[in-house]
Amino acid sequence: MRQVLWLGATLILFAATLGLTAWPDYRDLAHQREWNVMRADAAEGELAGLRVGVREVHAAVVDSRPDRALLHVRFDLQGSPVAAKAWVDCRASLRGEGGETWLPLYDYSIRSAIKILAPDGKDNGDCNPGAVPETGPVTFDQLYRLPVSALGDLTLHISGYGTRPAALALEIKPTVRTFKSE
Amino acid sequence: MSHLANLMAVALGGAMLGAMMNTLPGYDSSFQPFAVDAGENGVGQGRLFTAELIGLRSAGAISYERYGKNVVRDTSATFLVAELAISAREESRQIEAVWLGATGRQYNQSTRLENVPRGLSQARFEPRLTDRPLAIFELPDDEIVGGRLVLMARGSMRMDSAVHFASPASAPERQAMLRLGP
Repeated sequence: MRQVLWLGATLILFAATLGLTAWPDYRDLAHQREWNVMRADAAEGELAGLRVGVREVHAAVVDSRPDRALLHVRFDLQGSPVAAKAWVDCRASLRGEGGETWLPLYDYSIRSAIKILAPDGKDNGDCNPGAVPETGPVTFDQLYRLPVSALGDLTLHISGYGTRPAALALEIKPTVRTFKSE
Repeated sequence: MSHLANLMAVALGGAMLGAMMNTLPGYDSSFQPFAVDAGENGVGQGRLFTAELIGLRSAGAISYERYGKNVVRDTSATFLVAELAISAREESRQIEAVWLGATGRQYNQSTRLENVPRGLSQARFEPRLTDRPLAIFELPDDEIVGGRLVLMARGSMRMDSAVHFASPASAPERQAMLRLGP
């Protein structure tokens, strides 16, 4: 009987050690991955106290490279500054039907394309929950490079370090413009 | 009999602990990516990207245009230019390249040529899009034959793969001046 007790205590301590060691790694992983995706029915949805609304989606294709497109997505965030602060940061990625993930471009040399694609010719900068004011929505612009064949079935995933593994998914339907190369 | 069983249990435990200690990976090997060999057709598939080595060129000087100005870089060694075709597999990724020389020395890409058109350092690769970047190394002639190109995803390399390409059978013909265009 005493041997069974020792064996039981060893197993419990082993499980506790494993759990304590793995817990910080699990939390770290959960802040990086989007496991709990909430699909919005319309072009707007809410996640962790912030309202996300997609306002403009335009794609540009240059006729000399017809297999690829630049995609401009404009969306806004609205909510209390406290909720925005809890997001910590903002990840706005595009998902294809096969599960591919396209991340936004951060290269400033290509950023001027937003001013060409946006109807008002303005670039409102990258998504930043820290810029959400108490008074109303704030707008952001993101740019992506992706294959033209993916434009028909795209979902915008938005999350923050503080919301993950929860993320908000919004279906987007871009309008496509073709530009002639010089 | 009971003493013999206890002794065997202790000996078995000791042997298991010894085996674990002997196979414990060191810090270096824990942070090294797994080596994946490219096929004979020059195509290699890492966990996060697919790459093809299209060809190697070498030159004593390289010229290119930047912001409308002609830029020339020369060397007392050799510029080795690897022409590649790369696409990301699941998520947008940046890729880095090293040349493992014939003597075992490792060469990073030349920072003097970071701004060349189609330079690998500036490129980011997207799922389902294939781009043709250039990786440029500055090294002694005798490091080329017997050396090999290695590509890996930039960032965390833990539990990731690095694609190793086959060594060139002969050194590429050295050009006095190589002009690189977009």
